[in-house]
Amino acid sequence: MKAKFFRTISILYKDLLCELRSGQGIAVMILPEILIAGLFRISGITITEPERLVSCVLLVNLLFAGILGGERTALSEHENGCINGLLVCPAKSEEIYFAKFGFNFLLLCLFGIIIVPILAILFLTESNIHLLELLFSILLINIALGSVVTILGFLVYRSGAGNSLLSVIFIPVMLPVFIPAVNLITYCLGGGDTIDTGNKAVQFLVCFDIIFLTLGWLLFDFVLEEN
Amino acid sequence: MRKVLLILSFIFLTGGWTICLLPGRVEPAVRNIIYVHVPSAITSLVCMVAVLIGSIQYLRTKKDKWDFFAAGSVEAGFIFATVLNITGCIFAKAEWEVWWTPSARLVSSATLWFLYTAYLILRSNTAGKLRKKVCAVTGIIASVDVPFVLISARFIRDIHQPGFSFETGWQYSGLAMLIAGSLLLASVWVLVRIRIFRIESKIYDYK
Repeated sequence: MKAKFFRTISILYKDLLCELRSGQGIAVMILPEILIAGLFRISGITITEPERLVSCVLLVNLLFAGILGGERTALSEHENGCINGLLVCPAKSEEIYFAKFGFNFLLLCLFGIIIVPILAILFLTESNIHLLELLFSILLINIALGSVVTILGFLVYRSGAGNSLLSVIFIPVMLPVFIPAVNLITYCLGGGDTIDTGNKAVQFLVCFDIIFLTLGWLLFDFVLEEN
Repeated sequence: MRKVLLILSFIFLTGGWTICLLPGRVEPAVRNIIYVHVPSAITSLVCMVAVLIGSIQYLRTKKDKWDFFAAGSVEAGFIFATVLNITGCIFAKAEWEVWWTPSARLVSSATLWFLYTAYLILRSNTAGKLRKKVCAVTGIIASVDVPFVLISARFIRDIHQPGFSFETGWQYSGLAMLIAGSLLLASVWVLVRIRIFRIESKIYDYK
């Protein structure tokens, strides 16, 4: 058990080190999303429910950050043939999956920490934010995003179908997460939804996270195995 | 087997439509599109269950017939999901004066269509043995996602409710016959496609 944990952490540490050295992943995620947020703000749309608008913009940003991050995770292994090194290393496929998921999750959390204050500054005039609930909600959403994009990113790259297909399959799969997440984040930002809706959304997200993490763990072996 | 199923589906569909449009008719006339909409919805959901079974069985046994079964089910499901969405838009226009509204059912059916489309795009862009494995994994992820789609759609503020319900036995029996006919038609499609995939596979092996 200890050996499994250390193997997972080693692969995660390797990815984090590469990311710290290059800094490309987080830059690719952050800059377009700030532009998107700015575009929404300067478009001059009438804001009647600012909390709901912020939750939508935040989720769109998280979605595209997830796609970009997932593409980079898979691409970084496939370019220069690094995937062969990963396959022959003593780590099992589930350890690789959880390491890659951990990397995507941490990247998305970092992204969330940066983007949420920016959105609050751009859109919210009055602040009635339930901060702990907001952080917990974003954590749940990032677990869902990370678990799905890790397996789909590798799936699309192994298929040789091209990275543009990741968004084609990722967005419909993630749609059931975003529908309750809009209500949940609206509540966390002090919007009109009740705590009852928030509780139901949290239960839904926890279910989704558990099931898709389990699914990713079970299926990742088939994605990585040679023909 | 295919011919028997085709004849049975013809009987059910013809009988169902006769009942639905004569003694089971709903007023106004445009509401009768529900007799296409509901069977399409049920058939597309059943096809997704078939995709899940086929995908799991392929990963377990590595037998091509399960991949063909899953692919055929996706194609049938895609057709019925397309019909579902189009009839849903027509019904929404007649009932609520908008072509599309973020109603729980319309969002669910649109997402179902996108999941089928994503599978088909991925399948057409991948080749060889890897395609079967990639499609099987995609099929499992898409199928497991469907219950979440149906549940999450309940979170949408649904300001529109259907303004009528079935009242007579004729309407229910007509609908049941149409559902059975649609399921049989989908199974005919799947069997035909399995045969075509088998022949394609043999040609590919000879090459």
